[in-house]
Amino acid sequence: MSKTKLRVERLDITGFRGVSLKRSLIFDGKSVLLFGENGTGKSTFVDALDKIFTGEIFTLDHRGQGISSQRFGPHIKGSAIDISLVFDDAKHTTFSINTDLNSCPDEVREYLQIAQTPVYILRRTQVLQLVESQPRERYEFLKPYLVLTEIEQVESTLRASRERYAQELLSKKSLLARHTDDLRRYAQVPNSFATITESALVTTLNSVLSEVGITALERLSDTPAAIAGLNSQLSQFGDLSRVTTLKTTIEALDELRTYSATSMFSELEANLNRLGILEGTQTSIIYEKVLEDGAKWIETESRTECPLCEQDMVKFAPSEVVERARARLEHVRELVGLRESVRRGISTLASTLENWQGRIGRVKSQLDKIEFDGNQEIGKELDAVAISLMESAQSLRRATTLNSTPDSEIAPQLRHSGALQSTLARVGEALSEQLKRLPSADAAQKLLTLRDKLTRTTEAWVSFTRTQGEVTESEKLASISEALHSSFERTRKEAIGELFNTINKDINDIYFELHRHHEIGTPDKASHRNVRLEVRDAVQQSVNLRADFYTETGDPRGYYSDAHLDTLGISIFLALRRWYRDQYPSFNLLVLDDVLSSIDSSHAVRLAEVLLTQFSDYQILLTTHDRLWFEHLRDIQSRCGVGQNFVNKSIYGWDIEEGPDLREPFDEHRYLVELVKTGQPFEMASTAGRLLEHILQEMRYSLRLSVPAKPGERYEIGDLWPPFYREIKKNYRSLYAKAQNALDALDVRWPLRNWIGAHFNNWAQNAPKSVLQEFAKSVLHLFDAVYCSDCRRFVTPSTTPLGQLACRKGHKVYAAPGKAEASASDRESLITSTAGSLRDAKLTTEIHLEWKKSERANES
Amino acid sequence: MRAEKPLETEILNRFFRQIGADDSLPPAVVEALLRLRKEGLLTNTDRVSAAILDGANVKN
Repeated sequence: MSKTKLRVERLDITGFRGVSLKRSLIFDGKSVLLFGENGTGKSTFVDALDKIFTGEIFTLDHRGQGISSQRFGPHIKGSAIDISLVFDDAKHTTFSINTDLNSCPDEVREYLQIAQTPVYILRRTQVLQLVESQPRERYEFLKPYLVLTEIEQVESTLRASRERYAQELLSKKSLLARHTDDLRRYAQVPNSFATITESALVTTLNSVLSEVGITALERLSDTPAAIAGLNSQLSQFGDLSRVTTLKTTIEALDELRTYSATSMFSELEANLNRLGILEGTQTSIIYEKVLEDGAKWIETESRTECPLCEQDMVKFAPSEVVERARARLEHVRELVGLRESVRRGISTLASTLENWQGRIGRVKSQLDKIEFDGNQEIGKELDAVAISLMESAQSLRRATTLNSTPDSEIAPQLRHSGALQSTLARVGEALSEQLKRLPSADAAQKLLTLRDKLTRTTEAWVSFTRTQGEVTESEKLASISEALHSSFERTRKEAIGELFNTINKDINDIYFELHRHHEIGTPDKASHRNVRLEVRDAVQQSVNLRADFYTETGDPRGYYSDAHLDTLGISIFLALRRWYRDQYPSFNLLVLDDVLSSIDSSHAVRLAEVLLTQFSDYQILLTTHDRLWFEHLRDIQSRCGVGQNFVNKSIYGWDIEEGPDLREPFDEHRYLVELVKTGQPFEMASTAGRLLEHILQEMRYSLRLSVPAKPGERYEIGDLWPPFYREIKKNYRSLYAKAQNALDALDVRWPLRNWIGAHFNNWAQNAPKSVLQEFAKSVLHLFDAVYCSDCRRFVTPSTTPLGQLACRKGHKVYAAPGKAEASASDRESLITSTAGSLRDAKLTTEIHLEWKKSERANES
Repeated sequence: MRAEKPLETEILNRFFRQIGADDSLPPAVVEALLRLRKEGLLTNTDRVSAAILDGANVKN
């Protein structure tokens, strides 16, 4: 922890939000209480801190819909933005929005780095956010405090790996299921085996292997031996293609025999017999072709000579010749038809014989490829058949070219068909006999199938066992990933849960302090109690808020009033801020921007006391638009003995051209000095009046003047001057002696301020310059007496028993009546040695009142 | 950017204590974490990496 915490000395703003020309908020390393009515630019200073620390303005950059600090950060007049901070380190380091963080001294850099997480500003709009928001939004709000970026990354990574390995496991299991199906199908494992094991496969395969006399497997790794046994058996079949060839040949011969036994032969034979009978009854030979062509020729060409002899037809006219030829054709029509039919039959038979001859040739070439007993004889016989068929076909072809009865040619061919039948039958029988002598094709097929089954099963088993191993590995990884993620998630929730328990206690303590005036007993007995942030088990990144109310427990929104919810929101924020400060002690800024809008004055006072006592070692920027609360706070500062820790500022007004009117007393003094020399009388008097008012406002608090109450606490010179003058004359004689001329003069002339400044009229305008100068000089004189330009503070009564008026550094000291002035060093030693020094005791209001009571008792 | 992140450190320390990273990280966990790291996961956290390596060193 740093020995002295770094603090802000001043904040300078130009061209930003509501500030056009440069404005400075002077902290002097203290806390600042800033009053300004609505719209006077208070929040601009808060926004400037937000911007310079985080690069964003929460109220702009988190609203969406195109609203951003980039767009709405610059002043409406468009002047260049400049925001800078001066720190109270040894070098009085200045850091602006354009400064490189790395160029800063270590302690300033550390401060700025911590300030990048915006957990120290609470705005009015955020007060209820902690209470009213949904659990997920509440978590988002709490997230910056928890600083879990890295944790979320790790958890997200572990979750991703868990999902990835779970997915991988599913995929591997699916592959294993496919391999299982393959094994069941290849090995034809009965359903009685519910699962596929090596034993189930071995049992199933052995039952088949035993049928073919192969030694039983003990393990699947024995399959190569079994496959070798099957190959040995298969080798006895020799070339298995012989069987196939023989079978094919026998089938071809059978088909040939069936075909050759068709009715084609009997029909042709019947036609030939009928033709022989008809031709036997004819008295002359009929040349039907000659008759047909001759008749056609005579008729078409109107010939008058005979087409055969080319002599004139003398016996009959050509038409008669044609008619006679057609009559003869009609007479022998049956004979002509039969001849035509026989001719076609013979042609078909010739083609058939040629076809058979071709097929027998192909069968013969198949048989030539295999060897068996009697092969050569059968081959010769088939060759003879083929030659015979070829000759017959040629003979028939020749017969059809002759226009004569083909009986002499045809008959041998037809007789030959019977010989063909018997030859084919004999050859077929010989081949069948040969086939019977070869091993069974079914037996070979069975062996082949079994060998295939063994091969496929063995291959599938390899894939199955490999995948099974991968599944086991994948299960292990999935299980570990799940365990890692679950463990991490559980750890995070436990740690955050415990953290919440710590914060919850502080929330309840603060909340109880804010409501102590109407609670009895301890926080755990309070009517509104046990407020708690809770990690939601079921939902990630989500936080519940619950509380107790008398006998009930639940969502505080259901029981608490709006004001109680307001103070609850503030309590949560303060508890979080305090916890965060415990983590990062070197950063102690706390900003409360107009957060007291709906709570009554008693709660506001309690809050002020909590802030001024429990957060006295923070540098606080507290803004308010409520003048009454501003006055309360100033009073409470004094009562709590922390007046020296605060700078109280008022914004007197705002306009678009210049921004907030935030006058510093010393600047006003310097300006007035110039006006006294060269300024216009009216402006001089007006400025002098404002400075006098400023002096009186300050001294009112430090001297605790009794001022008749006015609505809105809007006190003017007329209200403040008489009690101030009386108090100085009566109790602070040394000050009176020091500034008597000025005090007495102002006692006469203070109405000038109202006449000139507040109530402009022609008389005031025409007041003599010498009178106004005297007024201004008196104000300057008084200012010099009560304001220390080194401390930048007005004198205040000492909290030591001396009771003297002094500035912080002791440059201006006015002894209490009957006492000698104490120098700064003496004063320091007195403070150190005085037991019960109010400041060091961090007084609460109660203690202060007790002290005052005893003081009054002593006085009386 | 900050050197200290107390809550994160507390959670990570607890986590590694829970899985035994401080003295006897189970080999299977080391293997899984190393594998995750090798595959580009868990590399965004120096402390996780360090703890893994510590665990691996313990194992070896």
